[in-house]
Amino acid sequence: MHKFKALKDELFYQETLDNGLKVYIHPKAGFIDYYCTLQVHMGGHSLDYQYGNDEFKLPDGSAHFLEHVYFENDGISLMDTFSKLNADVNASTSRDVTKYYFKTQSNFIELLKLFLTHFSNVLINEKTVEKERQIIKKEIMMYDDNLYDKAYGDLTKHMFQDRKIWADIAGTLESVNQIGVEELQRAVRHFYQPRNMVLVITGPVNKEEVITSIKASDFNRLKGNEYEPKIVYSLHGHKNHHIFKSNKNQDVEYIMLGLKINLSDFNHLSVSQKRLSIIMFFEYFFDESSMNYKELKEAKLINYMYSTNVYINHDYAYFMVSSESQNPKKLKERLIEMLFNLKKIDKNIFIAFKRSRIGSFIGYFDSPQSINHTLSDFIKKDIDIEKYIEHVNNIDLNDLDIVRKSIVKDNIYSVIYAKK
Amino acid sequence: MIHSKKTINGIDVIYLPAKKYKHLMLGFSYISKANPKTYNERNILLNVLENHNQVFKTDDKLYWQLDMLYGANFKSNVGITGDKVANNFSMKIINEKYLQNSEDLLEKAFDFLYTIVYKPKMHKGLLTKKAVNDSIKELGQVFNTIQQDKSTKAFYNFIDLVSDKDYPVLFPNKTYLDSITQGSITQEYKKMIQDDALKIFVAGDFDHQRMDDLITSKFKGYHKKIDNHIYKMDRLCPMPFEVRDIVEYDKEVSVSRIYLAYRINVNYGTHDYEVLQLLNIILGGSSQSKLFSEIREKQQLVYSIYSSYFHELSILLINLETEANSEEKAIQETQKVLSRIQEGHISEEEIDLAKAYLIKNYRSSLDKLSGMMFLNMISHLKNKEFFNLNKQIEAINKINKNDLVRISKKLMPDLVYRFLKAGDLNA
Repeated sequence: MHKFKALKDELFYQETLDNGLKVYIHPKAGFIDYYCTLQVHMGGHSLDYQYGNDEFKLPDGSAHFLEHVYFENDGISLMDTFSKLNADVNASTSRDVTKYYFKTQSNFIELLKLFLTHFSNVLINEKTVEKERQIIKKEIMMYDDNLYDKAYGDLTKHMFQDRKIWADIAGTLESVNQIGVEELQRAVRHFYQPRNMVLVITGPVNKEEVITSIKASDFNRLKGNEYEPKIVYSLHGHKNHHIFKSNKNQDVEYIMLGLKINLSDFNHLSVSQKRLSIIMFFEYFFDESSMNYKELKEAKLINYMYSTNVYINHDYAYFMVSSESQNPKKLKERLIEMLFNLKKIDKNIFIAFKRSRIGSFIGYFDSPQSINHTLSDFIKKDIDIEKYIEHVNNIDLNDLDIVRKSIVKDNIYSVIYAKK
Repeated sequence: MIHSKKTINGIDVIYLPAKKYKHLMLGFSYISKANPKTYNERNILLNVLENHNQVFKTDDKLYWQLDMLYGANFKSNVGITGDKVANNFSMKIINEKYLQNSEDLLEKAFDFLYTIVYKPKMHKGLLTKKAVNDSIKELGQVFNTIQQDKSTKAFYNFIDLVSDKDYPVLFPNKTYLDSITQGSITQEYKKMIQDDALKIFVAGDFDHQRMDDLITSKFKGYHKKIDNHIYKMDRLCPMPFEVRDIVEYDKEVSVSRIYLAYRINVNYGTHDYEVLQLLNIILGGSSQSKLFSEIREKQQLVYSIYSSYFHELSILLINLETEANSEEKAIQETQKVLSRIQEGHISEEEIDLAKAYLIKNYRSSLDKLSGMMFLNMISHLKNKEFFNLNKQIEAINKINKNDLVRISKKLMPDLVYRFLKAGDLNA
């Protein structure tokens, strides 16, 4: 096993099995909870992809549907099995991965074996598919009346024409009807192969015992396929950059503004440094600690619902800023003006940001659950956890300033939801 | 490592030492008798103190300071239990032994917390008009946001319907909004720092003597007020004569949200209190609960269903989210699940699983620094004792089937609240 160190007293062990599954183990003596995540690189974006020489399509929501189906696995509910052993198990699907995770305070090895066996052989039948379809449709309707989710969906739809970037992770009522046994079985063959997965384990574990159990499990006998799915994005946006919608039944008015970021400008930086540069740039200029925030608040253009978000993928990235507002049109104009007139970054504040990043990173190690999530996330994003603090320390102001190249009219989009 | 308690300058100081965490936590808790007329002010104070400070004159200065403290995290909240109210201010900070250089982070964090609480901007003895006006304005915005977020709106309206107007748990409390003034907020602030009982909590790996010295020097002028009030830990509610059935409509809603409220009076710290907690888990407090298994999984009548016990309101609530044409059946089937429990249909296996689940959750909470801190803060608020896991486990393990059935029969239906899309068929 390869050993690496993130902090002076925090060690990780990594091994790649013959079938391609990457295993990460982080022993944390003195804690009670064991935490295990199986991360599959299939998510809301897995809608059209190349596999070998062929191209395939899946209906919106397929990854999420599969997540539901895996839980049932021909009538053997993962939740029932684990609850009887007093463990919690759950799953989630994001834009780029599906995660299955469990937490326990005892019987960890036994549960790990059960967990891996469950994912070694999934049986998908009509009955399970139909049952989950009904549950998912109800789930979709629950989020239909959330204004903020709607605005986000509308904005990303205009920023990127490629539906892989903005299609609802759960799908739509129509798309979920198009998902059947055949589609799901194909998705399993293509995406649910060991080399497209990562297993992350944290807690008071004995690493030798853990790796031995994994190697002895049915999961280790799974073979990888010849190819891995490849997803390619088109980053073109809609011609119409600015959307205005009115609804007299709304109680608030809302605006969300987005800026696309050209990742190719950062090719000379490591993944960590690229991400940090972009995130810290927007934190500096638009976070609640920023002068811009203060100005907008004093001008009464925003309220406490103000929020910012930076999303960075391997292939695309964007920044969004949103708020309820008494005057969303004026807020939009002011935000665009701010973007084009960003000042020089103050060195003292930049140093404070770096310190904050380091502090947050150290804090992840305070629980097996949080470090498990962090490590899974870092793996997905190709961030080197061993060198993270070093990368933060080495970032300089010039790296952040690269973001300014993306601030052009063509990269700016907005959506306003007004009362009239 | 052993928890300890001492008194420094009249302040109750509680130490929760633990070596395994990378953070430390500090908390100031100001406790007094709850007053429904000033509950809004108690909550507004949090905003005023954080955003209008003499030293951190602007938000950016405050956040810069927190960033310089390696991303220290500051939180404040108001808690209510029985007839006690507590204004809590806490900070989470990296233990500097994980940094390359020593930076006295603990002292700086303590100083920050002290500055936030004791150095607000004042003018002629009052919290500034700007601070007060900004906070009141934000309150208005909070109401708008509640209206917009349908899930929050449904919950807020439900809690409002089951709350006693003279005993607020909801903020904002609509009844006393108009009486909020610069004077009333200032008065509540002065009361908090001069009259309230102060408790200081420190958790993590820290030098106790260093902490003692910090508190002694910072609070040397502190005078503890004698508080002769005998606090009640419970609020007993009158039992309902009839079940209210209330429907509200909203055009922008996509699913039906339903709340069922059951009244029950149980004293904190008693065997019945523990029984009710366990009953809640069995009924609808986990993914293995009867409601989840029966109503969601088996009958597929809802997307989500859960139950929750609110001691401060003397209610057990059940929440369902479903489609319009499933409402009536979902409510009836939900009520049947409870009736079956009242008839004794609970297996020993279900009871054992629920006990294991509850104990596991307590252990998990205690395993986190913030969980350990907050469980002890709540425990000290309620009965001035450390949270004792072994005692808690013993109390849970004592519960038997008869206890659960007996308590379930005490649940009196009070309210069926439906929050629906305007024009729903079943309305």
